[in-house]
Amino acid sequence: MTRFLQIAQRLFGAGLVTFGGSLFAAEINFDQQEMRLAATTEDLIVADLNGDGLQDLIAIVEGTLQIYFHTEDGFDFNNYETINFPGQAIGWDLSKQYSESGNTSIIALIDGREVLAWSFDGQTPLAPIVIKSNLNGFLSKGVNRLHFSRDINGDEIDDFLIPGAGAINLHISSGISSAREFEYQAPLSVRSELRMRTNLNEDSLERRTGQSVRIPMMELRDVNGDGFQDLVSRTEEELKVFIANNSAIAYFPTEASYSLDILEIEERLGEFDIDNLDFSNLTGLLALTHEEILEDVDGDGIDDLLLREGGKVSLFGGEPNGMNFTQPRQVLRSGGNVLSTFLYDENEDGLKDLWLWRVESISVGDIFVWLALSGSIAVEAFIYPNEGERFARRPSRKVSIDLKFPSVISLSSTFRDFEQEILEAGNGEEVFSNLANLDGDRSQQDLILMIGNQIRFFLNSIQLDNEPENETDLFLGAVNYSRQRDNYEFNIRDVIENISIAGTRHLDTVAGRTADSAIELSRPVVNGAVIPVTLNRDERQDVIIFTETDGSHIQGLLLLSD
Amino acid sequence: MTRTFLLHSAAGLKGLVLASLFIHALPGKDAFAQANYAAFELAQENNWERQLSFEDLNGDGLKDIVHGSYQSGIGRELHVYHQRANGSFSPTAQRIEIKSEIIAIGFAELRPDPGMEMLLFSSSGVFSLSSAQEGYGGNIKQLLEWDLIAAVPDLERVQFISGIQDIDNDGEIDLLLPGDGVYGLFKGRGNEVFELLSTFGTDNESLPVAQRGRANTGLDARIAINAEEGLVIELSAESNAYFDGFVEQWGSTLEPARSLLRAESWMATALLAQLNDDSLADIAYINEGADGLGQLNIHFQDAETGFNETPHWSGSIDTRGDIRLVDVDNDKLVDLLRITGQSNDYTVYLYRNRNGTFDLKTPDQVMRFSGYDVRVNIISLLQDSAPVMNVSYYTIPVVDAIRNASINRTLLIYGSENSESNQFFNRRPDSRLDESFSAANVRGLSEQMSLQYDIDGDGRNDAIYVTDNGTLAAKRIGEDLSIESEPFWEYISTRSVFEFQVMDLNQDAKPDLLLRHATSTTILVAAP
Repeated sequence: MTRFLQIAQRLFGAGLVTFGGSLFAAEINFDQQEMRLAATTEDLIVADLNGDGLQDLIAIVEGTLQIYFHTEDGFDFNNYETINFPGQAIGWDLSKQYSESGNTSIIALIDGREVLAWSFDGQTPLAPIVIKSNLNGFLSKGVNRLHFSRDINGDEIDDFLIPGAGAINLHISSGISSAREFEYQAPLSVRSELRMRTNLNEDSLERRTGQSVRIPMMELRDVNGDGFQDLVSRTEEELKVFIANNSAIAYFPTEASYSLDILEIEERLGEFDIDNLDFSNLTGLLALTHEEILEDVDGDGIDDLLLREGGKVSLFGGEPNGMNFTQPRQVLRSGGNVLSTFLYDENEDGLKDLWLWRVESISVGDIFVWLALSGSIAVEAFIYPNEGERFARRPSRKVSIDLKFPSVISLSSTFRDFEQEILEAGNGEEVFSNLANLDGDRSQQDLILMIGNQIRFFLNSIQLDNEPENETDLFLGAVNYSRQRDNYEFNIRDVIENISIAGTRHLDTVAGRTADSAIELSRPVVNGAVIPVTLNRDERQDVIIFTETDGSHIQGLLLLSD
Repeated sequence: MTRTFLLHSAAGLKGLVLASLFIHALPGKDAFAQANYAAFELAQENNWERQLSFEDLNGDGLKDIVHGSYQSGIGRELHVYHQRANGSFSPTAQRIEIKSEIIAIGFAELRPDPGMEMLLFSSSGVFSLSSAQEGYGGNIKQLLEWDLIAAVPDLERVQFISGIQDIDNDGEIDLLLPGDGVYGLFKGRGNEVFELLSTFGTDNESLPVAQRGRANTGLDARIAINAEEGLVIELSAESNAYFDGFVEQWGSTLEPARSLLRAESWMATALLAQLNDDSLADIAYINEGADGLGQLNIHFQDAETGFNETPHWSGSIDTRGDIRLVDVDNDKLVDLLRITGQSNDYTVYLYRNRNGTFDLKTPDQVMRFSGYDVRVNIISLLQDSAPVMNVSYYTIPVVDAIRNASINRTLLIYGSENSESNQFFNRRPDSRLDESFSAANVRGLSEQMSLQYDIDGDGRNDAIYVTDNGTLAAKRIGEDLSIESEPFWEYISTRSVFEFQVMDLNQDAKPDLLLRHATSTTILVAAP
């Protein structure tokens, strides 16, 4: 019997008290309500659209938004308002900017050309207003969730990030004119890296045909310490930084304040060629890797640039309006196979020190041996203390981590067992679980388990004390790092032994414990989910529970904290 | 990012002479082994991206190299190297601009002019373009309107669509296109006229949208070094999670989203295959059944109406592993092959096609193998002969791994002459080849031995493999299915070979070769 089944039997074999039809317990009270959505619902967004403090539900159904308003009596899933978007390619978002009453509006980029906003008067949708026209955006067809409304320059007015062909166009709002029209600065177009997977030529039965597209959010943060968000644009070809000038007509300059040609770095490092590969030192390939780290090294509040090319680390000094590329402030060279670098204050003097990680040489012969035998790899961090303007020329400390791992044969067998365990979990009664804050005690979390035809609540059953309290606890937490110790061991077998299947992660914690309360459902749940959300005005979380799906509907329960 | 360097020096006559110096047609064998090749080398920084096709674009009967290229400032282009009569290729490429709206390119004979035309697939339609005419003006022609399932072009790459064919055997090219939730069959009427004949969806409409394609199980690993956590190694196991990401709590005070946009549009892949005995290609695909299992669906083709909206036959199937349609019993109908397993324990299930239906509960033959990375191929060694099953896998004897740091690779060939009734293949292999690999000959592991090609053109397939030195060699396969111990042919290239393919590039019945190296591809055209 697998570990999962043993735990489930221990847990649910116990004679737990159940309560049919309604839920009541000493610690929590819920108003329980049945929920029914169309089977064609693609996503569900929780937001307060009419400013009554009760969160409404927005369902995306076949290219429209269906809005279920939350009232003092809960939800009426037989009645909803519909927003039909004009156009073919829609990107929609939410914003508090465009309703006169300060309520949340639905805003949509239509065919990449104009932005419309829909506000609500109570439960009545008002006619859409045009926020901006003549845009040069591009979106794929259909209705897409697009997070394009965001305050970029910290003036508490939402600006627009409009996706274009290979670029994001920033439209920074200048506010509302006397004619009550929204005004914007001249747009700035910044290259963006589209993460895309297209498969139109598949010849395999079990693979799917289609496309997925992701546009990463651009990096906005203050790199020169003036309190205003700057724009950092990273692509495979270049790193560009646009430093904001809040007093200028245009918040961002039209040209990057400084940039780094990453293609040139890669050309300098050379390309991978198997014919010249040293099979006795495969890790020698790390000489082809590079890193660009923008962080404040000298403590002046302005980000400096740490550039690693193989084993060569160059430090360039940041200035209020740019980066001094004329000459690196410091160049350090390390032998061996440099794996990575990062900045972390090791000696607790308030300045970030340079951690340079090296890995021992690994040969093809080593890999063949590791197929059958467990092995270990020595990973070492050399720490160059920050002396203010630059790092010490020599490392002050070496931290060694002996990374131990089981043989590939053993790993393969363990993974097979896990696959089997997952499969058995799927074949048996599925367990759906989630953590929530259902009562007033925020120091501990509550576990909700749904298995078979029962939903069980284990209040304050999950301790938060395993969570790191501060940055120091998190750093190298897996090896119990301390400044007093230089040698560590990390065994991947320990990680494997502690692995848990997502749906059953917390079962061990409550094994043998009686549930604080329970709900009995009319039939076992096959494809379900337990999702904590905030729906009403109190600080306790509410719960959406999906219990049943068929060709026409998704059914479930809403548990509204009372 | 892909950058292309046009390498001219290796092409042409110089290449022809050079290549012949490195061919070893080993003596003492009675069959002919090709010794002279014209070599052409195409350099690519990232040679693993497949943007290479071989098409006869100018109608001279010789296939040309068509290569997708991207250069910053120029954008996407097709580079066409035209094949010459002596097997060499033009030293400079014909460059064809790929407009930014184009998502994919295919090739088909559509116009009366000699040579293949390009089919350009955009998000809203398909166009034809001839490479014989310069530019798009007066050349491009819209063939049809169709909302393609992929709507966003990749500005640095273009997909090549292969397998464009005459689906209904009427002598005209037809198109089966994935669209907005449905596939569309466009019947070619000739003279570049296409008509939408039928549509069908491949996703199970009886399932809620939230469930379609979301079922997923597996293990995830994450290894990272960063300033927040130092060294991190995480493993997690995921079971089915249909409603993952289904609910979003919005709040203006919440952390900004990590993505500006996430958009996905996927559907089960429909494959054309001969499933019943009416000589018209049919459709097969696997989607998800209401029972959570996979479901194999079959639509038979009707010459007049195309494909039905609903399948003619469906059956539940466990979709774990690799599932393929292949004619196992040489009856011209595809059968079903499923390979499943983990670690060193694999099972092969073979299901016989019974005129378009399968008994998926009862496989016709089950074969078990103990080894890692088990691969199975069904191959006819002679044209129209009964197929054989070629199985290869790795074993890791602990003693060998410790003593010699080596692993073993085994290749088995199963014939069918002594198979039991209703089974496809013999219970025991007819031949077995064991090889040992260590650090000294690791290059030989780059690709498994292939029995798919006839390198010497004698009508019988050979066993082609990458040698310990990274060269390509071939051994003969005997009548008794044993593989000879010594190669009869070897091509010694200046760069290690990782992948290879035997092709026919010039209709001379002499096999031509594609050799893929780390940063370049060599095309060898057999010379007289």
